[in-house]
Amino acid sequence: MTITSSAEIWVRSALVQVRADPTTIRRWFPMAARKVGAEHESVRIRLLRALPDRSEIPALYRYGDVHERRAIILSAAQLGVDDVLLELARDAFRSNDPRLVTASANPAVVERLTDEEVDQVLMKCVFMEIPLDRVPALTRRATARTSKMLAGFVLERVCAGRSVAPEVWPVIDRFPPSGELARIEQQLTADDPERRRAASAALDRRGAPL
Amino acid sequence: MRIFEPHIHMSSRTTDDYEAMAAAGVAALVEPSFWTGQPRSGVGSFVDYFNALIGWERYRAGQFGIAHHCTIALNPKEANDPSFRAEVMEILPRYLAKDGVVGVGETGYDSITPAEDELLAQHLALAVEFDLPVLVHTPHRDKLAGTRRTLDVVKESGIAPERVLVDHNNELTAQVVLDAGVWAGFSIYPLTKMDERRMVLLAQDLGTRRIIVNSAADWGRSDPLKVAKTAQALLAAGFAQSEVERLVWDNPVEFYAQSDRLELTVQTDDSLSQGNSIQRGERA
Ligand SMILES: [Zn+2]
Repeated sequence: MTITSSAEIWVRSALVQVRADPTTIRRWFPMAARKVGAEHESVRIRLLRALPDRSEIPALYRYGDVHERRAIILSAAQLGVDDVLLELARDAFRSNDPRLVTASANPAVVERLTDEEVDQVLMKCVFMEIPLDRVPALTRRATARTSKMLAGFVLERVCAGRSVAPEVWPVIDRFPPSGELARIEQQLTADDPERRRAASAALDRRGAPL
Repeated sequence: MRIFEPHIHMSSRTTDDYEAMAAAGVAALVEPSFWTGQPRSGVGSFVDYFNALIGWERYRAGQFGIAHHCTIALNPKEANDPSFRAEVMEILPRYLAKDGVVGVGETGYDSITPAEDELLAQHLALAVEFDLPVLVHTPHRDKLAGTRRTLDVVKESGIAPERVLVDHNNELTAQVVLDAGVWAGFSIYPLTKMDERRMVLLAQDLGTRRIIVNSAADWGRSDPLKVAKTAQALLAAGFAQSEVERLVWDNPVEFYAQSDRLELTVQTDDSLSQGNSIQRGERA
């Protein structure tokens, strides 16, 4: 998608001004969406790249709305991830807005996270019902511990008579945790009919194409 | 009936309220920044509050299909606190540049002090600079004098009167405000300010031009369905449907559309609940 020529004129003028005086980004960055429309994210990343250094970025994030914050986190691929950006990404995945959580799951950020952090973000996505195919950088980093945590989650849901998203299975089956899986299967013969139903619904989807 | 609630403090309300408002016809709202009952002790509290208005609160409203907007200002009550006043004024421009920020407000008078004088003038100047309409709060004590003084300061500022909404009017201030060419707001409350019955009488008297009704529901005893209830009272009193719609939708939309930042359709794709795909962030 390209932006209109009047939007491009606005972008070029904003870039010139940011290069001349980096503090002007405080004004251009927030208004980019209504100046350029759907391409606001890439335009905001261009503005960030025009900065001589990163000193303006933490405040842009601190005072930013969800789209501004996403653009900052997603700039990681082009700007590279330093400790400051990593801390901002950590703030984003502590939020309860799925748009920020998925932004923080971008590959450039995820490769800097510890295995424990990857597990926490991934579990958060599962709890927020964010489809796991939206966060491939996370699922690629799954370990035996991740599989065990996810299977524990399935067990908890089955015992509550609730459903689980089928896309947890490929991650669980990368390192099948025998203990948790046996306990899930035990629920097929539980006294509570809701548990039996939930167990069979969950297990039916195991190994099935998504 | 489709309702635009032009003044409500949703950060004080529950999801039950959002649900009831949506059921009563509220499709869009404006949440002005204000005092929160408990005085703030530093600029950080303002930052978190403003961030909630442009962030979490907008997200919450979206879950109920309600388009959320806000206005940003240092409220008149806390304009009197010298310990953080300058710092708050310094961050306001960052917020006034944002999408979904459709006005400067609530500014105005609380105790009618020199500090409030100065800050009201500064807020009006910011409104001109950022090309935004202004929501002006009028004091509850000495209201008529405070309202007159407000109108003088508005006039002095040079801002176009049709870009100013003077709120919390009553029987004594309404005509004075309308005569000044600005919009007149009425806050319909369970016990104080204005009620549905009196609003019907006022509308019979003044008509519906440049009149805006709101619930101003907040942290105190208030009712987020007061605009819907006022609409019902007006219909029961014989007002035409089109006239009531003008009051509860067309008028507030016309006023806040002057910001050019009203977004009346709520984001409906699944990115709100499921996050945006970051597939395109993948390296080839
Ligand atoms: Zn208010």
